[in-house]
Amino acid sequence: MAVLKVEDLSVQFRTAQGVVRAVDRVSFEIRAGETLAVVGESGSGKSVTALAIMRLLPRHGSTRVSGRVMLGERDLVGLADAEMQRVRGNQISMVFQEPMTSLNPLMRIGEQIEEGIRRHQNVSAAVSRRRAVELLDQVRIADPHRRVDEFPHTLSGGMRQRVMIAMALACEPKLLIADEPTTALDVTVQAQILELLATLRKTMNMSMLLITHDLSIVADTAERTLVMYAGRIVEAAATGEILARPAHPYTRGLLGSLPKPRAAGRSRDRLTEIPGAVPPLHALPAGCSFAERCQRADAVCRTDRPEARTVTHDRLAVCHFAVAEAI
Amino acid sequence: MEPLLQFWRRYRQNRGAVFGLAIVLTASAMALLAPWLFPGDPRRIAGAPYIAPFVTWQFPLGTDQLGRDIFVQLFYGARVSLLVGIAASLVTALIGCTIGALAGFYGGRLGALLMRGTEMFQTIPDIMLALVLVTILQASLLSVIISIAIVSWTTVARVTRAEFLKFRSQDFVLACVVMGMPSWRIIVSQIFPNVLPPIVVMTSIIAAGAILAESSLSFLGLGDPNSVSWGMMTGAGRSVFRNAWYVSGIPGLAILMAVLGINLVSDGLNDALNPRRRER
Amino acid sequence: MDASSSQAVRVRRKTTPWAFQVAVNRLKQAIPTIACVLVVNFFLVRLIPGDPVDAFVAKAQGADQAFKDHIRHEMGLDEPIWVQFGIYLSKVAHLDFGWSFQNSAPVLDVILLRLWPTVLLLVFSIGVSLLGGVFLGVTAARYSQTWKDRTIAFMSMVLYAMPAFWIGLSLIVVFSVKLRLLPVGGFDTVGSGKTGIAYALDVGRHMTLPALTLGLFYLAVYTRLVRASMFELLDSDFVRTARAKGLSERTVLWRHMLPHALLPLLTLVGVQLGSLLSGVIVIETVFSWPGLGRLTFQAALQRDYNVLLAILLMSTVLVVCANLIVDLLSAWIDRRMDVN
Repeated sequence: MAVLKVEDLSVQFRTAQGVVRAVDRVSFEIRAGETLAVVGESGSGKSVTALAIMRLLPRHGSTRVSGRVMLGERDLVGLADAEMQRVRGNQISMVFQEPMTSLNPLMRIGEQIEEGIRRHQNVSAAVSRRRAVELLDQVRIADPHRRVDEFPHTLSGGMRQRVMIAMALACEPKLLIADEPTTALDVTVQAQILELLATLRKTMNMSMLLITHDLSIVADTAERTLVMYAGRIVEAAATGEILARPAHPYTRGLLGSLPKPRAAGRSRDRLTEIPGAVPPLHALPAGCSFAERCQRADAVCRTDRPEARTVTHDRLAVCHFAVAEAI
Repeated sequence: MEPLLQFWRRYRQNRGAVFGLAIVLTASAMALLAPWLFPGDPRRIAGAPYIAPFVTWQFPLGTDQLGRDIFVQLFYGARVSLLVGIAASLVTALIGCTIGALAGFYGGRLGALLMRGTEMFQTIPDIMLALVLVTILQASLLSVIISIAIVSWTTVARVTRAEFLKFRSQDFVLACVVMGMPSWRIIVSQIFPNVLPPIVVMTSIIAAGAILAESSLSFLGLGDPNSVSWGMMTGAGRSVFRNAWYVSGIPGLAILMAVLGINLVSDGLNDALNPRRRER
Repeated sequence: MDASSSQAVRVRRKTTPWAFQVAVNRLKQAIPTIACVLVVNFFLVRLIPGDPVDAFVAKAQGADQAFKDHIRHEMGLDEPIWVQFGIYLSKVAHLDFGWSFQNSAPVLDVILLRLWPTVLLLVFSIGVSLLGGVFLGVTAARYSQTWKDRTIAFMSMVLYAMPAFWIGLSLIVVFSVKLRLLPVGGFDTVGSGKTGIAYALDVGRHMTLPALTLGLFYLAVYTRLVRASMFELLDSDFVRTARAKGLSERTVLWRHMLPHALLPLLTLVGVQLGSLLSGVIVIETVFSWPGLGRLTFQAALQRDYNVLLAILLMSTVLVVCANLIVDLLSAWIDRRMDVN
């Protein structure tokens, strides 16, 4: 059963260079109890997608969101502001990329956790306080009774991200969106945070949307993976399938740029990189957006936009030459 | 030529700033053309007292309680206001930049000492000091300008210091130090051009403040007794404002417009000089 | 930060309360400032060309030589200059600011008599402009880029450019002359014989226009500052986090964003207190409010230097005290500062 269904979601920004389609007709669903990873370079539209689901995009007149985001029977895109506030932090929560700046430096940690609880649940100050201490304990912050009264500047980046996670889980949401939750952290801390997220997801029986630019972290955490490029989903499949037999040349490129653990002994195996850069979104080419950087590209790729095709059961790739290949 | 044109293109995006520029240009034209359009003493008695504005073509803005032409005095008043605004802000910028640059570039003990001094001047009430200085130095345009500069340079010094601190540790400055360039040349030729935009904006804001301060002093009768200024006109009309509001109302409006104009221009300068800050 | 070092922070915090630390820091800065004002005060008067007795005792001009010599000796003006400075310092330490020949009373008495009307006026107008400025600035941020925001921005821009005396005169014309609602000036109705609440209301009626005049300019200043700070914060990460928690826009603005905007506002209030006192000079003169500002102006006109210098010193002390309060408030809002 799907917790969240995104249908034809598009986000447009009006900028000085013209209208930019940061997210272009994206559709996917997140099933109950699963982790779905969205992978892509910066500028691929993955974060914008998450913010659009949460309705947290900057509210200038220049942003336009279309399509549907179905949470159960309700479409979040058209929901009234007050209704949306009841959803945020309650049914869907979000953890952001920058733990150093995402907490309010002038408020005690406990207050920041408690205000979410008190907003959505009709509980007393004593109860919410107890819950805040519990949550800090759950995200494995030592000495939670003392930490709850401290200000964020006394905590390290990893600790702050734990606090962010505690805040997000305060009301036991159905879905947690984690937007590059480990990018700003040290490598050793990254693993701990990912492991914590995975464990908590299981014990609380939530679904998770994990957004990352790092394919290497999806293997252990996500059941399914979407690959985004230039605002569009280019490949969607079970994580194991994608890692073993990527169907889209871009996914193959991403995988090729990763060090392979099994090949560690073979010094001849060099990392490959994808030549070129993501085309500017206000000047996308007529055909496939990836054509300029694709070794496989043909004349047809430069003229026709590829449509999504089913490669095998339950997997899609948006490429004229989509075939699953083992690498 | 091309950079200037680009600057103007960015500047005119701010419609308020274009309006402000129009006001400032009008005031400047009034100041420059005053002796040529209306030769003779602006304070001479020209007609009957208390002629209301927009009644006769001879005195478009009426006359005051002594029968002096308000329209003509307004032209001459622009000279004093703009002169004080320009002179005071330039002196202010000079003092503030020097002290701020030294404090920011050298840092350490000298910097701390200079910043202490700056904080000290900040706590001294400005018009009160001006009042003391004007009474001691005798009322003249020069003492008004000095008084205003002495109390307003601190903001420029703080901004300049902050900017210098930012650039002090950047690679191109360090490269110059390594090359053995003398400090004064690094300050003047390398860092200063980079910190100019915020200083230009600050200076224009101070010019507006100086015009307000001058008008307050003149209103109190502490301005230069030998020249006409808008503040003085407002102060002189104060005793009759119940019956003839326009005698002090019109010069007050002139001050308002001039200060508003300069503030709008500084907003526009800010937008045009920091393009990235314009996105709001 | 690991557990042991934050433990250390806590221990240190317990031994020296942060409020004490902040106060000590501010006083360290204040003492040289006050010392400097003392020095400037002392030498400034001696820079005045002519006989210092003439300068100090305006009425002495034309008096006979014997009287002048008497004054000269009385004030220690026949001593060497460093002895004079010593005498001056010890007098100031004893709160002896000399004699006001214009008011025929000790300077301290003259000033204390005029102090409280000014403090009343200041507290009232700062209070009103702070509350108004915060409310308008937050409202502008709430409705950014709509007509409400544009109106607030435009009005504060215009108010910001208005000379205070002109606002005062306009208010008098409208409310006193045309509508006859409020008195033209003064502190209370002379000879009304009112007492208690009736008297307080009478003073309140007299204070409305001067407080409004002084407050309007600062309302504009504070509105502009709060609006600008709030705009800077609108897209910051922690504000996004607050929204992601599902908090209402009102909570996000007032609880999460406003404290950040209050920090620069408080600093500005402290810095501007000096110029606020300057504004008081003009406004008290326009409204014949019997406070320090009018006293300053009269002293300047009559060259009553003892009074003038004592006011300059006292207002510096006042600004220092206000800055101490500002520092304490800022440190209370932002606890990051008390770690070092």
